[in-house]
Amino acid sequence: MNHHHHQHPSPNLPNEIILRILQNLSDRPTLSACCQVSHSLYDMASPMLWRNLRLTPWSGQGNSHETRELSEYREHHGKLNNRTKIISRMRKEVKMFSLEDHPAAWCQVHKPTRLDLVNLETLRLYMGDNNEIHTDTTPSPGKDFFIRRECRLLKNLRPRTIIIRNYDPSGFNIQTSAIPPKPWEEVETVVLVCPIDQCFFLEARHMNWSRTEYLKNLRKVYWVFDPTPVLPSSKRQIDEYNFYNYLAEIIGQSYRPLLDLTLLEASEKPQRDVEVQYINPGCLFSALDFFQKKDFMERCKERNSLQREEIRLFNSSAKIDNSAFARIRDAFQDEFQAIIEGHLERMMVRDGENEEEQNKRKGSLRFKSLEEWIEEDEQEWSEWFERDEWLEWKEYMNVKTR
Amino acid sequence: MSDKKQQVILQTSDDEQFTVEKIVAERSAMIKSMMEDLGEQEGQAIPLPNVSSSVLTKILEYCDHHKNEPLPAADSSDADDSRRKTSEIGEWDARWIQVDQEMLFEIILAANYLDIKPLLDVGCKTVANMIKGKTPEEIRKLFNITNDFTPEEEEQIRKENEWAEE
Repeated sequence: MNHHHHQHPSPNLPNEIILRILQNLSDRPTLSACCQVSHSLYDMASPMLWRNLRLTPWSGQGNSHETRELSEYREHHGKLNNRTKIISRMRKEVKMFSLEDHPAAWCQVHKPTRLDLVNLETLRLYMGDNNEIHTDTTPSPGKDFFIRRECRLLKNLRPRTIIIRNYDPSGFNIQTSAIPPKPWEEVETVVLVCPIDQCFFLEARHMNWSRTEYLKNLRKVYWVFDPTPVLPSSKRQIDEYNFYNYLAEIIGQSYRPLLDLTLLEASEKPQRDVEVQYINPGCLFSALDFFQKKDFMERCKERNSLQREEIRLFNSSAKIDNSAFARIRDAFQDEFQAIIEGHLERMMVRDGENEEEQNKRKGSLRFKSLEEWIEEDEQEWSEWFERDEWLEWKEYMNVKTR
Repeated sequence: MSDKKQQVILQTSDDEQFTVEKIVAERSAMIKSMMEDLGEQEGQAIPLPNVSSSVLTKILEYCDHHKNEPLPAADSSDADDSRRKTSEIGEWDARWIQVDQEMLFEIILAANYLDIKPLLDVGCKTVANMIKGKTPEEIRKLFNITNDFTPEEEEQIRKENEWAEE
């Protein structure tokens, strides 16, 4: 008997405070545990849990894209069969839906049921190999060859923002990605997140991310350069591709179509009042090989865009501290901006645009470092990315790759 | 200039009186507005019937440390909410709030009553960190909540969440 054992009990917290506490949680297992506590906690935590719905057949997450494995458990539970009851309950709660690439059999592509998330705002797609949402291109029954079947989970969605993360260096192509046309119809904002080592420029010829006939309401495009190295083989690719010279050639006009199709595509057609933001282009510096970096440093020296100190530090074997590294990134961002703006200008001169139009469109381009973006547009990125995600980015930014 | 003008007397639930610098006491939006209502009546103690002296002592430490920071806007908008969600607990605050659970909950309740928003956030974040990774039973214990689910409901929710869990 612990009858005499007197313990100060903690006071009970009112629901308004418990709600405030739960609002600080983002990890799903904990929110799920909260749902199972009591009716009142269920009512508070359940909408938070369903607010971000994420479906994936993969175990492991984050950067382990190449080493991940299909999880049997997930595969079993991720299937939508016999889940219609749950779907009807949560379909109104989901504001953000994240879907990873998956075998067509996993989403049961042949079934007629569709996911109908009426209040969906943001769709996040994690594209797989060859930038497909379906990892397999299975032959259609009765047809002799491969037919890309549109992903059933996406067919009924009408998000206003689409975030596309791709890992495959071959670049993103809407037309061959098994994403049905409907989800694009009401999209106002497209966010393209690409790893810096993707060298997306190089495959841009085959890349057509904006099927403009579908993107009627497009207003904003974000290129977010993710500094996290994703592919283990990336080092090799960067060395092979003469990335910096490539950019330099773009300045020299020779690869004009590439930029048209990728970084500036949105400002070309059909409506030209699309705002394009380039977030964190400075980190592309890390994707340069040693000689390209040296080359860049030389240019900075000529133009006085970096202080002597950074250049000296870079040329010596001394460790470059974070602030010097940040200044180098800033200088590279300026370089990037000059390339892009220069190119836009040439495009417009070619098209015979008047000066007013030229200025207007130049004004629709924005260039921001990751820090600036995090600082200035918290409303945006905190809706689109998990906090852990950009914390990781920030960490990687400070890892100097020589 | 008399120094008295810059001070205010606070009276706790256990009838202790604290003479506090005005700038420190003003961290509490509730005390601030009470002081404005009371005007210049010197020596008048502000009663805080919901706060004990031990909790107030602790909270005044916090207020003193942050006394020179700008006060948060009276009407916190949604933008503040998202900032609140993403910002970290400061180093000093994290050390300061290392107290037992009873005190932590008392601080949160007092911060809510006294309307000290940044402190309420620090407290709520601290509790959120505490419940990370805990089982439903552990969370019940922490908040002193009784399980009011039937076994059927429990099973239903478990099934439902299998889908949402990573």
